[in-house]
Amino acid sequence: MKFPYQKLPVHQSPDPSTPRIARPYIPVYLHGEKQSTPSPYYAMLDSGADNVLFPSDLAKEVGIADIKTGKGPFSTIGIAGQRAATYFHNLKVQVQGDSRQLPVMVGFSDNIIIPLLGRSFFKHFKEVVFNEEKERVELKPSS
Amino acid sequence: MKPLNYENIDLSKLETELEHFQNKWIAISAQNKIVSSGRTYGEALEKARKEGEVVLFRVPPLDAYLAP
Repeated sequence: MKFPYQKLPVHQSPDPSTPRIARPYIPVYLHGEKQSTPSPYYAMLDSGADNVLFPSDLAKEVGIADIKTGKGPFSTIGIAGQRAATYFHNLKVQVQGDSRQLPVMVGFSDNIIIPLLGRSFFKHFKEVVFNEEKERVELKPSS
Repeated sequence: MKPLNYENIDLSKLETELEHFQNKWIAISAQNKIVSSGRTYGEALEKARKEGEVVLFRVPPLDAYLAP
């Protein structure tokens, strides 16, 4: 499965020749026990993140009325030291084009603004290849 | 309705519009058009109900780099 990077404008740049930032977003579905997101949404692959972290509004879409019913709160710390209270739920993530529903612990927080797929998601793949030259990411499923 | 081909979804072509949707969810159609927006995934999707297949995207702030 190959997905082109998505290029977004950034209003600040030390290098004027690159006013856009290419980021590895992939379309995914989220599956709960009885409900799933009806349409896919883009989540960003982050090889430096430990977990799968989603904005809390996505929880409602899979039947979780209150994220605090999950395990937690656990602290998730960002690169600048900012902490977010995170509640984890056992759910499944499905990549668009892949028939597999991958079991992952999904952390929800009111402070998370970008759906993030960290290393607990990567472990379901034999390889995750970030091709910077072609600006695309390839996910090779485990056999 | 046109099925969604993800190769055709190109946010760089929506650059001008994205400015208006920072920190919101948007729904993008098979024609690579923004067809709705909302504070939540559910709100954006509800507004896009008649638009056929869509993919949703939460627009990050565009005035900063990301280092999650």
